[in-house]
Amino acid sequence: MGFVEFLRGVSAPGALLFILLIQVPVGIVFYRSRYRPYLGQILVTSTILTVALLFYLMTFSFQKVHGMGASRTTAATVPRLWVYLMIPSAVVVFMGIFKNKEKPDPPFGRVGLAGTLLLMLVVSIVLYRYIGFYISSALFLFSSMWVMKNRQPLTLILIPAGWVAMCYFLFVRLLWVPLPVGALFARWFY
Amino acid sequence: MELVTNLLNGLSILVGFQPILIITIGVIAGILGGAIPGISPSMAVALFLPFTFNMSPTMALVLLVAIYTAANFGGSITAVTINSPGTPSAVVTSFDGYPLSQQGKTGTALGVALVSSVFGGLLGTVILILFSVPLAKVALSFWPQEYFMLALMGMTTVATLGGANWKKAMVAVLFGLLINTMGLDPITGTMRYTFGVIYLFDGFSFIPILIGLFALSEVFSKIELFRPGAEIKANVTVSGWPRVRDYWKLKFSIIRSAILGTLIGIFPGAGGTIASFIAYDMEKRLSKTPEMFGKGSSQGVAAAEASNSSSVGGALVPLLALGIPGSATAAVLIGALMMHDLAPGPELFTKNPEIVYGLFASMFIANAVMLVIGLAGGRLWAKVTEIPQNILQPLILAFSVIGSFAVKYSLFDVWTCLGFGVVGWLLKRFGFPLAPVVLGIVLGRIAEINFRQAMMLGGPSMFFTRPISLVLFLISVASLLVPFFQARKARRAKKVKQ
Repeated sequence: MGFVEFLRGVSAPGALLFILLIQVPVGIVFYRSRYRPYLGQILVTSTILTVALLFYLMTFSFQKVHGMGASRTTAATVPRLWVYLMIPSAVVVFMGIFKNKEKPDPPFGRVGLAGTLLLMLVVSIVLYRYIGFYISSALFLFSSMWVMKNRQPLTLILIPAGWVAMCYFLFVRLLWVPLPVGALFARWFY
Repeated sequence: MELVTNLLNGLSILVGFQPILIITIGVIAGILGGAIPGISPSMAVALFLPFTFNMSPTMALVLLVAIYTAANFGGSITAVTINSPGTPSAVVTSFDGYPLSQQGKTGTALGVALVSSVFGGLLGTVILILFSVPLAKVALSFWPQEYFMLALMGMTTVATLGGANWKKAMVAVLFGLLINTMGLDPITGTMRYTFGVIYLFDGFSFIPILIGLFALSEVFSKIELFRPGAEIKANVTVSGWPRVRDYWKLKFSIIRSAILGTLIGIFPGAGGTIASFIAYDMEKRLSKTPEMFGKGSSQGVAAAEASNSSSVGGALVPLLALGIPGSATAAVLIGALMMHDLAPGPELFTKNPEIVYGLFASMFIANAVMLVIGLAGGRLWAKVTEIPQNILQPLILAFSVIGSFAVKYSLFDVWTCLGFGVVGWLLKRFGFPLAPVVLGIVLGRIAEINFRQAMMLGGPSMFFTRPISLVLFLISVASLLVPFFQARKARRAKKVKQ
């Protein structure tokens, strides 16, 4: 399989793996260096640069459209232009970091709590397919308020209930948005 | 004189309970539609289109344009209160509206947004009435290179948006531009960066990205700071609304931004979003307190809202004068016109003047009604900021999900929203401004299509041989370089003083 064919077949997990293969060593190297206070900024900049690099490599796999030669541009022209501009921009950011002109990364707050709510949201969305939007989102609201230390019973019940009612009447009945009902209840609706 | 007569005739059609009721319903529907993330102005107008089937053509257009007008203000409500712009054009409003809200000045932010929106809309309507035909000719005279230069001019606002973080802002805008290249190439149809995912053939949807970058990232940032027991309400007190003299201080900002917004709105594809970025940039450069922009400047809110509301008038210029829609919502309005057997274009002015001038008159009334409803409902909208964080943040998360889903009824958009929420959170955390990312995404397609069309027409020289294109290019270069030299001059002056 040639390089171009390989690039053409890059999938989303493959792209993610490519990014991780570069970022993990970068992260380890800078974590052990005196630039650890700037690790977040370095990783964000290098990740964006890696994405740009990946996009640049993938431009070689774009199919050439015949008869467009006189246009002077192809599908690869503009992405490459952005990449060519990205490289010096990222270098300037790195220079600012390495010359200590940037402020160090801010301290972490309750990242665990934010991560927990994010995970709960992901689970809630995955569950749409099985138990439907209404139950899943109501459970999400209840559990996320609980996790954020809300213990008022009336609030814990009324907010999810009100939310479900609002979604039904506003989005389904008025706006005709077909919210997922879930496999378990599909036969009652269709 | 004929113009005044026609306008009075148009106004006479609207005198009565039913027309005022229709306008009021349109304004309320527009505000609500604009406020809900995921419901765009074009969607709100499209949703009401079937209801106009049995109405007279004038009343149908009056209702739909009232929705269009009010939706732009509606988007600013959620932009100010929860940093989740309800419409793309309200993105810029959130730059200063939300910080104002965080400082306990929600009333100030909403009041300035409302009044700027109303007066911007009124000024846009006046320009539409007086200059629609000549302005439409200007829009026709723009070739692809001019459109590209207009997009380039929009991109130079990154220098202002970035402020002290201009280096990271450059990286951010280029990131947005790269994201925008995902999907089918608009010129050749080549698949780019789709990674085998069918949903990426059209690239990422804009609204879910917007909701993720602004709303979700803000939620995660707030949750990081959350302390149960010492529950921080978003605002301890909600400030009163501005006084008349506070609005008077903003008069020149509103007028300048409204004129700019109307002029940019006449170019098909440009729209309120680009208008608001450029107007914001202009006002920041002209302001005596530019350092306040991005931290809660009323002038910033006024610039954003006046320009995006006046762009409604601008978007109607090519629609009515030439039959070319100036925006997505204007394209839906063409459907309304055709549904009522009307052909948009120059003949509409001569064959159906009562419809056109009735529409113009209704825009004045719609803006006035919006002022009344906005003032009446303002304290209600502001109450959102008093909701405890452990209820508000989960609700915003839930709203973001359904808002993203409502765009194309696709769970892929929901995942997009979530993904960009995490990306936005990380970017914000480490000092990368989010506005340039949105700027890149908004302008990327316009820039690319017109750049390549211009190259096809005649190569690189095309950008510099047409006078308008050259002037726009020079303005763009000056926009980028002037702040750089000013900052250098200020640093030298500081060194000399020391």
